[in-house]
Amino acid sequence: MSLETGKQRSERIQIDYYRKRDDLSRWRFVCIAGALVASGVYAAYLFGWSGKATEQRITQFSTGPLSSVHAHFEDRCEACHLSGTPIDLQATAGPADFGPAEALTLLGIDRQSSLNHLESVCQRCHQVAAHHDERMTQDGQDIDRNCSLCHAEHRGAEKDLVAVSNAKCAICHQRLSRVCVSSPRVDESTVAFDRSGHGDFQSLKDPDPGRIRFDHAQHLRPGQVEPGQRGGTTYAALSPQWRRRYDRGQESGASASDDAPVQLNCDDCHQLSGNPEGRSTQGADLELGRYFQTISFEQHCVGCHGISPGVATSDAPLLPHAAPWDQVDLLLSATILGARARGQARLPGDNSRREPLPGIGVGAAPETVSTRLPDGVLDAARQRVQAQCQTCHLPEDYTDQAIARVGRRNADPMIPPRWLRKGLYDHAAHRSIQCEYCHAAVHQAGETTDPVDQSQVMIAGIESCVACHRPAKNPLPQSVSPEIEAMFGTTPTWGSDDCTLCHRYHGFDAAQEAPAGSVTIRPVAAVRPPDSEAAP
Amino acid sequence: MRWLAIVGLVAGTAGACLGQSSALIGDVTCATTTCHGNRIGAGPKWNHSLSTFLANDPHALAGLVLTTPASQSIVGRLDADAKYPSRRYDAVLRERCLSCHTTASSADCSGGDPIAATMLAGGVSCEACHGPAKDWLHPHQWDGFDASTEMARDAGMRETQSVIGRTETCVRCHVGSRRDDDLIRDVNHDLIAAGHPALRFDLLIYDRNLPEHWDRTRPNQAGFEQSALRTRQVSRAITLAAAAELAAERAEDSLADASLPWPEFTEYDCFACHQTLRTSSPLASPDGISDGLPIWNAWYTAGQIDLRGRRETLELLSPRESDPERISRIGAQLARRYREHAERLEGDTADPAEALQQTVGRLSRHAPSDWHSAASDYLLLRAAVIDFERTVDPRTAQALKDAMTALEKTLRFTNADDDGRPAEQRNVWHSPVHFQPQAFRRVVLQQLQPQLPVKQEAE
Repeated sequence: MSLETGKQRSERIQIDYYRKRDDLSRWRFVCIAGALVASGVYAAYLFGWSGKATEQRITQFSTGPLSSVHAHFEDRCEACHLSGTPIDLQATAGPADFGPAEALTLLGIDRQSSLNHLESVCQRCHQVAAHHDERMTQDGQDIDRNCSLCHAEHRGAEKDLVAVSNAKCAICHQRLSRVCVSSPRVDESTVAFDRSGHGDFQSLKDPDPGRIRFDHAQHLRPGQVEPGQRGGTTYAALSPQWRRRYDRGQESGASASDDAPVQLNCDDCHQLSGNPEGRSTQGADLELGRYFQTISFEQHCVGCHGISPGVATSDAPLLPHAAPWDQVDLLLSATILGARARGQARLPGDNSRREPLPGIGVGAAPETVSTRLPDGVLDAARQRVQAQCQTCHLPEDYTDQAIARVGRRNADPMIPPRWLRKGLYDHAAHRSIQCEYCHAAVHQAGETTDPVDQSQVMIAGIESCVACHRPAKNPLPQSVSPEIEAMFGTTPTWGSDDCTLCHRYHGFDAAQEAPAGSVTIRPVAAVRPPDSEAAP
Repeated sequence: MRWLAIVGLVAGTAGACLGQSSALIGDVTCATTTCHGNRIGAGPKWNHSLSTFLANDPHALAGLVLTTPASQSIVGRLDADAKYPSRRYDAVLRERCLSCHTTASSADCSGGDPIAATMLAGGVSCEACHGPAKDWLHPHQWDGFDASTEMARDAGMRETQSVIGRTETCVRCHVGSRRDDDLIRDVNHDLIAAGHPALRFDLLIYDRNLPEHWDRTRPNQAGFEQSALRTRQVSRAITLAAAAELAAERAEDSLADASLPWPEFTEYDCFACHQTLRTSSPLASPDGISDGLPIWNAWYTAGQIDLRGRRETLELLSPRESDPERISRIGAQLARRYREHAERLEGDTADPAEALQQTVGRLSRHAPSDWHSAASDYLLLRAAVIDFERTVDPRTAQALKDAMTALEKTLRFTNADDDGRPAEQRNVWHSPVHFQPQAFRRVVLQQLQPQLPVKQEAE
């Protein structure tokens, strides 16, 4: 084996090698020259060739046509874009650790200007509420201000700007503590719609705040009594008004008999409605069917549970619900004395009788009717009324003070009108699914267990949703037996598992935590005016 | 059970409202519209039984009677210092009146605390007749729970559907008792002397006068509906048993407590002593001469025990011979015997036509010996007519009604001293001072007998 000498090694590289182009240099030159020529031609095409339609030229600057909802801005770029001021596209990607944004400042792109501009131009039209911005870190707020992060434009006319991928939500919600100034109020990590990735509904984690004694299962049984229990409510016990409502056979001419037990259905009390009054933050929430009408005594209870004045003659008015006690006293007095004055009730001192008593005869009624109730009569009558209150209410809830706090007769029943407080649920969309599928706890026909309605929120957990609301590639779980599937009726057994199907971003949660009617909307004035963005 | 919690809570609160620690829980638990407080006419009878009761039943007003001027007068005679309103007045009510005029426990009937106005306003309510509800309030809602069962009795519910059961319920106050419910319900001579009306209970009359808060069409009411005559016979036997039992209890108590009055004059015919000297005695025997032996418990024994024909028995029972030990023994025996008699009668078939014929036939032979005897005949005839008129044409039925009305009027008390003074100031009050046995007999023969079918003589 011969060894290479030093001279031989030096001869491998020519001494004037730097004066000659090699293949690589030549190729690089060709590419640069070609690129310059192509750029010049493209520039000439864009700015010099007037024979092309404007729309076609605009597409050369844009990533695509605007969505149909913004189509009227199609040829008005200036409505959103500032001439000569590029937008930090990376600003839409989140804080620094979500994407390389700082380097763009070298290109003259100002992050804050971009953020301000992005938000302000959208809010000219869309005055949407904030999304917990008061609880967000600066990075989180920056994300919040970038409308285009979720609502990316120039994706074509068919693009649904409201459809936001789960990944967008996960930017923050996969590790929520990174964008919260304090401990998150909801789960730290939410990455998918299942028990492990989402957790169960918040309402099921908290104790039931209800203060109404109510037994759903009992009310769904014939006559509202348990099997083997007597005294069920019959149709004869209902006034004609309420009988028409609860006797479904009347319309078809097949009325129930007088002594037939009243059979209630879920929809006798739970009637589809918009969002409860004063609690709506989104126009869509008011859509019929999204929620149920608030349960009220006058609408849903009084048919069977009218408050009896005690001396309840056939035409005696029932007492109003949640009326101050002095009004109740007045009505009780009027009822008792009125019944006596009209001969419908016995007078004190009335010794008359139909069947004579030997020696005494048939007796006689007093000639005059006292207009004053004897001591204690009113109090005794009131105690009977209070006992009726206790059927549903705790004693502390029908004091004068409690009634005054409610302020109206037809008050909300002191339970949340919506149990899924963090998300939207559209009952109308699920109307062909049997109620029992999600509210199994209220259907305990045949069982005689103690009612759990007060201690347990009567909605199913997330398991009832994920069977259908699952990734499209996943098959229907085997846990959904044919019997269960039959409960779905005509409802498809697959539904999107998008976060946005249930959750709204803009101000939804904040509205739930705020008093009724008050909604946090970020004022437009707080954002720099679009015109000012042009200033350095 | 789910109902138990609600019912228990309401009952507990109700009991607290009433200040009761006994098994009484008050009628407030019954008052809901879905239970017994619905509007009158709505739903089945049981659904508005409390409303019916509160509106029209005199029992509901029984407590309020205790504060009327008449009651104040009675209490004032029992205790001259008991002015209304005062603790002393309430103390008299607790000792003498609450046990019958309200739904009271034994604790309510003692002590000197003021009486809650609501207690008097509550009157005689559900539990007074149906029994303290603490232990049956929940069970009574379930199939199989029937007031006639041992389970119901053990829970404290009284059986009020049969003639015997209902009579036994009523007589605790309307005759009296010194044992039932650990209460003393005793309208004795002191109380009557103070102005309390004498007790002359008859189930059929009381039953027909009450607003029905029960359903007469239910099978368990058949005992009442099938025969008024049998109802009257059975109930009068129970009533006599209750009177005899009360006599025994009074006798026993008088032996234990010498302060109690003995002999107890309410057990004798009032009109034996309370008669005007200016007229012929209503006590007069057919020969016009009083034998001086008042009939024992005349209202109850008339038509059931012929004491007038048993002079030795009358002697034995008379106030001058009355031996509490013997009365105690006799009373208990009589009570037992007539309760057994009532049970036999309840199983028998009553024949109203036969009863009418027999009674009219007897009266055609001789007039009643006294007012009580006539009243007893009237009660028998009235019950038989109620049954009989169902089988005859409307004209005859009306004629029968008219005859009974005329007959009843002959029994009416009149006041010899009815000179315009208030009734409580008259010397003779509620007295048959003007009763004429012959007039009674005349109505029977002239108005009633012609409406009856001619009895076919046996060949």
